[in-house]
Amino acid sequence: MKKNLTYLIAFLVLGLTACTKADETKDLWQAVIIPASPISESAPLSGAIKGTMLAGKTYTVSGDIFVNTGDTLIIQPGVTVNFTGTGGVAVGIGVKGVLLSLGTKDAPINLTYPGVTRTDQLGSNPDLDPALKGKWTGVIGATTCPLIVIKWTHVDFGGAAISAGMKAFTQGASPYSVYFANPDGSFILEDSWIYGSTDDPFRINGGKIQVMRNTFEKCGYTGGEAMNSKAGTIGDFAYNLCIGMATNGPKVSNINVAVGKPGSNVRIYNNTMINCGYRRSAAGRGGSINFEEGAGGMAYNNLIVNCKFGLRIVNNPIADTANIRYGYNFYYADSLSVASQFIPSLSVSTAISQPQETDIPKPSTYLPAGWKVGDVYTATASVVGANNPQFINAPVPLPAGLMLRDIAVVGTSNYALKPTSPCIGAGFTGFAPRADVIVDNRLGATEITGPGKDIGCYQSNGRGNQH
Amino acid sequence: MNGTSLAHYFKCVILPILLLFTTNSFAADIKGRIVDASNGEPLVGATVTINNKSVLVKLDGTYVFKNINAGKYSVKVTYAGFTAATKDVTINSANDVKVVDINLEPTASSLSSVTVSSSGKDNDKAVRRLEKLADPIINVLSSKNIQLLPDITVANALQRVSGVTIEKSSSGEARYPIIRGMEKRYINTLINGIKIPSPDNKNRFIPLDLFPSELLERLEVGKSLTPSMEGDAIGGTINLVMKDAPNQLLLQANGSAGFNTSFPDQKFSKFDNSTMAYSSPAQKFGPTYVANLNDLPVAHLNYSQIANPVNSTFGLTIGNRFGKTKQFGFVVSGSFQNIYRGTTSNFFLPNSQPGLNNIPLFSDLQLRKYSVQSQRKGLNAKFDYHINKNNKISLFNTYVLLDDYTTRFIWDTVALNSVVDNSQRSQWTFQSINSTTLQGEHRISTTDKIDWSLVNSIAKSKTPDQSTFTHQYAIVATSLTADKLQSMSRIWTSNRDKDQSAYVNYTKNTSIFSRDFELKVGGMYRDKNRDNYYIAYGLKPLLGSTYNTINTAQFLFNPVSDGAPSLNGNNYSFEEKITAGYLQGKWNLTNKLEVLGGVRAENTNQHYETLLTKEVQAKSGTIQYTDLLPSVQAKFAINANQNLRFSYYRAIARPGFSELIPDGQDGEFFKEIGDPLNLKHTVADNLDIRYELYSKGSDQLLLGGFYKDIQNPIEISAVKPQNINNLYLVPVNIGNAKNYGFEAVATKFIGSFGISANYTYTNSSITNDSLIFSYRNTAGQIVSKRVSETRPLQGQSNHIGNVSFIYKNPKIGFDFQTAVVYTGERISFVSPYAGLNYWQSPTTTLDISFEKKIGKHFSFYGKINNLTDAPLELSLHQSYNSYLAGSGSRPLALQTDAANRIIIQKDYYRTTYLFGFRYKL
Repeated sequence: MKKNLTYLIAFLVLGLTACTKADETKDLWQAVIIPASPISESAPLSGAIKGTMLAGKTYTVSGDIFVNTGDTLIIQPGVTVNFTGTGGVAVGIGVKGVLLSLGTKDAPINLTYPGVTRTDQLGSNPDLDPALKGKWTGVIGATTCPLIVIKWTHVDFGGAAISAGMKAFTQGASPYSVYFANPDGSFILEDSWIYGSTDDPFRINGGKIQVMRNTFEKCGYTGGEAMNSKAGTIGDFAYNLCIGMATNGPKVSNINVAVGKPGSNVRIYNNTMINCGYRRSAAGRGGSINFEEGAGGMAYNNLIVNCKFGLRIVNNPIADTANIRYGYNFYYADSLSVASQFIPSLSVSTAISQPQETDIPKPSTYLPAGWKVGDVYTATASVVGANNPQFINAPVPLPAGLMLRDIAVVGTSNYALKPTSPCIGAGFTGFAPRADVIVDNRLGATEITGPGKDIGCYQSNGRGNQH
Repeated sequence: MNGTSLAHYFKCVILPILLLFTTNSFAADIKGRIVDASNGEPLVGATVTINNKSVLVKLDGTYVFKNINAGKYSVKVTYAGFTAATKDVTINSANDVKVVDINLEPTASSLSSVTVSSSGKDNDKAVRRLEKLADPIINVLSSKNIQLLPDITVANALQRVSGVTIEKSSSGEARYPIIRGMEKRYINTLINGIKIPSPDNKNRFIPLDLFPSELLERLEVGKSLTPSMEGDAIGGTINLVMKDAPNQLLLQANGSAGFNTSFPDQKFSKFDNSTMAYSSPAQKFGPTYVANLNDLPVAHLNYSQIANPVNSTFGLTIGNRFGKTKQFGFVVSGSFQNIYRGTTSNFFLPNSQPGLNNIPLFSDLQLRKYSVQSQRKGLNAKFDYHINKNNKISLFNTYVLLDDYTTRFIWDTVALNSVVDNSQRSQWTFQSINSTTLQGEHRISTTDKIDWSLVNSIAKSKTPDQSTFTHQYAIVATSLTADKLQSMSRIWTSNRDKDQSAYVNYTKNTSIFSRDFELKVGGMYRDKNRDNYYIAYGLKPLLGSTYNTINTAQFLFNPVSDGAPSLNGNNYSFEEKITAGYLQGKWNLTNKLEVLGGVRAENTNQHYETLLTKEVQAKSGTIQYTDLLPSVQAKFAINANQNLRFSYYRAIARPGFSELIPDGQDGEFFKEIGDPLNLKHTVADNLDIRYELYSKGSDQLLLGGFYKDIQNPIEISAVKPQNINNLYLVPVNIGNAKNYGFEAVATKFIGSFGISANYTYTNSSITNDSLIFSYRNTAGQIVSKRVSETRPLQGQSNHIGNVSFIYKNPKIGFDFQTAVVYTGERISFVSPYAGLNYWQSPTTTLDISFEKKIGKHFSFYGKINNLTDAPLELSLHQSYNSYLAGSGSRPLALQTDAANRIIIQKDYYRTTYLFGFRYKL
């Protein structure tokens, strides 16, 4: 344990030093790190686990696996872990120590449940969709977990009920595909995919986060945010593509913050949100970005297409409005009812979002005269269908015969922008990421990408979302 | 003190003095007192006849014939159950006053009059005597008193006792006592002196609304402990003394009907529980069974509306003695009550975390309506066999069953989402206690006595298929909103508590330095086995389905594995073995001073097993401790009518069963969780001093003071552990607490009028140094820190008062009583945030009852409860005005004191009327 800590600190120091970037480009041999305690794929896994899952191998998990306090589990590129369970009992991985899931663009990692046929055709019935059924539990961090790093990893079909054994150290977490709850710990989710979940695909109750360049598809059955952050979550949520979320893309709240910990504050920028909020059974919940109860942060350069509500600053319990900045967000609606919620109202969804003239379209072009913050309004009809963001290939405007909730996966679409898109060059770059985590290939962020000049997650300069 | 010496003491000391009081002469009168020869109690209502004139004996035992002519008279007294007696007297002149006191002998002489415990007749005077003679400090309500009270359950009757306040259930039914600021966990409950197990699903304390008050011969509230008593009563002991076999044929019956004024304004919502499955799908088909919708019918979530449900009660008591020497006795009493209650509650749920500077936020505005039908059945049976003069065996059995059918509707305006959640819940709970005791008393010699008890008790509670579902609609409907179906939960809980115990006591009367000395040694052993079962099924709505009726609502298990929920830590077994022994001596140091002292040792050996997995810390465990509990009780007789008492004792309180389990139920607002790792049992040192004045009849004056030093008191706090992001309701030891105060009880009768009043002042304090306060730091961030706060103990009111006006006229057979109870402000819920405890506002309730004799055997009676419709009101000690000025605040209704308080809950229970007839042979 002590030894591990020493290593960890050494790594952290190394990482911090690595943070200072040089101007020169070098292509040097990377020292090979010999994997500690290689894990055999020959027998199904269950119980405590540590060491290294070796590149390219396929592992089967038959009972809950745990990374104990002080232990580390490293998953090398190209590994597939099938959380098959036994006799229909769902299993997952509980992390009290450190988990490093280090996929690469060429050899991503798969954390999944085997043998499921996806039903991704437009308009498929969500009640029968295996993506929303929770086939395995997920990656569940304990309150003692100091670090989870997930890079270039597919997390599919998670969100099954959590076992009693796992509940014991997660303090009763409901089913989430990925869960983290340590305000002193760090959580990195980069360049990964979360497909399907029963509730939030990613719930965080406190921690330093770096959630960048990921794709969230079809998450949450009757409720669920791409990132539901609470209780002293600080960091950046950027360049993510969220499509068909039950409720919001990211939500930030400071509910249940631990005593003495700084309040939740997340910079949410350059994300693309498509058709979110339509499986949420509660009426006034959000559909794009929410700031709630004591939470602060930023929301810039987000591309919000056909989502149930625009950016929602909640009045009760009130967000930390003194510490929230937002603007340069781009809205698109195919119907008047959606356009009439670009700026959510007090009575329908307890929101006090201020109109920002830096947004596209400018609120003054669609708000009725005499409108005040919090009022319900009917948007000027001309805003419907205006300002098409011009994706390379996507069902925008909504094809005839489809409902808004029918678009929930990327599929064959491409949400990158055409060169003629009004989003190109419309972004605001006058701020920096919070950068609360270290930069390190293994123990931190690969790249904390600053704000991009193109609105949305895909950038014409090739940065941003790599999917 | 044994019975013989007691009776002797009474006859030789008290009676003559009492008689002195009654000697007054002003006119040509014949007057006097009529008492029971066996115990000196006044025989209220006995008929006194001279020649052809007759009068009835008044409340204080006196009678008078005024302005009579000179001559010879024969004074004859008759009273049911007593041998008539006659005394001759001669009036010599117009100013002559003759005092004729007569002691009537009971018709059947009974061995039971030998001991104090069984000589208790059911009238006030007898209980005053019990209070006076008892070793510990006690207050007693007699059955006559209880019968006349406006109350039909023991819990309600308790609030008439000095220093006792009542805690109500959410539906407004009085349920638990608080004695002098010490809440229910510090109080134990006995039946006939024997501890009984609780059907409560978490705790030890007994819900006292289970007991129909008419089964009782008397209700004793003990406020100090002798070594021979069980030690887990820091606050006191509630002893339900059940009816005893009478000396002659006893037949009593009563029936009544009534209503609650909540109806018909609010109709009673009734459900049919026939589709509630007694066993959960997992119990029926095995733990791995995946339930489906067919296993979970919803018919019992349909409600029929009843405009004017009629309450009814019935009671029957039969008893007699038979055999050649009347050696066999029995009494059987049964009670049935069917009561409908309606409650309307407005509740503003404070957000789990307050805003900046701890200004509260309110996440939910709730309107709750409860319809509760309570069917209470009680059966008490006692058989005794007097083998001979020295040996007696009794068997008694008490069985109570309470079925509660509760419909709860909540309209919850959720601030965050601008929606209304309408939840509907059907809950059927049945709880029972069955306690059987076999008891023997053996006089080995004139100085030696052994008594023993073997007890088998079972307490059960079951809530099968508690069903709740919610649908949700927008406050402001738009084209995007609809009335949407939400989740449904189905929960099965049950628990069973089985006690087997044995008690034995040996008493020896001897003398030390030629002063009477009573030596008593004894012990007890109890083996308790408890099982708890809990399973919860959660269903989701079919996506996007709108709500029309519950019968067309579409639910599903998603994930499907939700159909086979794992059994959590609420499934456990708990074994507790208590072994205790004591040694006590009572010494008459002087003629006036009696000292009782001794020590008790109690060993607690607990073991629990939960169904939690092996990864969980403390999933099972054994806890052991031994307490040495000294006690000294001194009684100084200032004179025959006045006592001065001093008492010291040490007592304990064991944590509840669920409090020692590292899991808990999802409560209404917060998850509950036990803490076997840190929670310690409570130990308290208690000092009491009391002055007692007993004048004639039932008159009395009691003045007392008390001081309690409580180590490790247990309070349920909403706790926010470091690094854990949810609030939990956790039992915690918050340092040490002090509780002190004084009480006064006064009862005075003048002829037919009486007034009885008591007042208790209590002051307690406890300091919690880990309360959370949220503020904005210099960097502009909202952060929180821990601060310290001193407050009273949960449930403790500074002022409790109780005044009854009584009118008793035996001549016309009319009794009338009005009772006013005042309970001062107290904390009802402890918040983890500084300054945000919930306080229950002071309440004053007014109840009325009367009874009028009709003919020889019948009487008509009425009980009117809560005449002023006093609401239950909870508030925060924060200014509503400054709350409203804060950002994001929404206006709240109900506010009446905006400068000082935020009222967050107001419940109305309305007035209940009950009228009936009683038959007495």
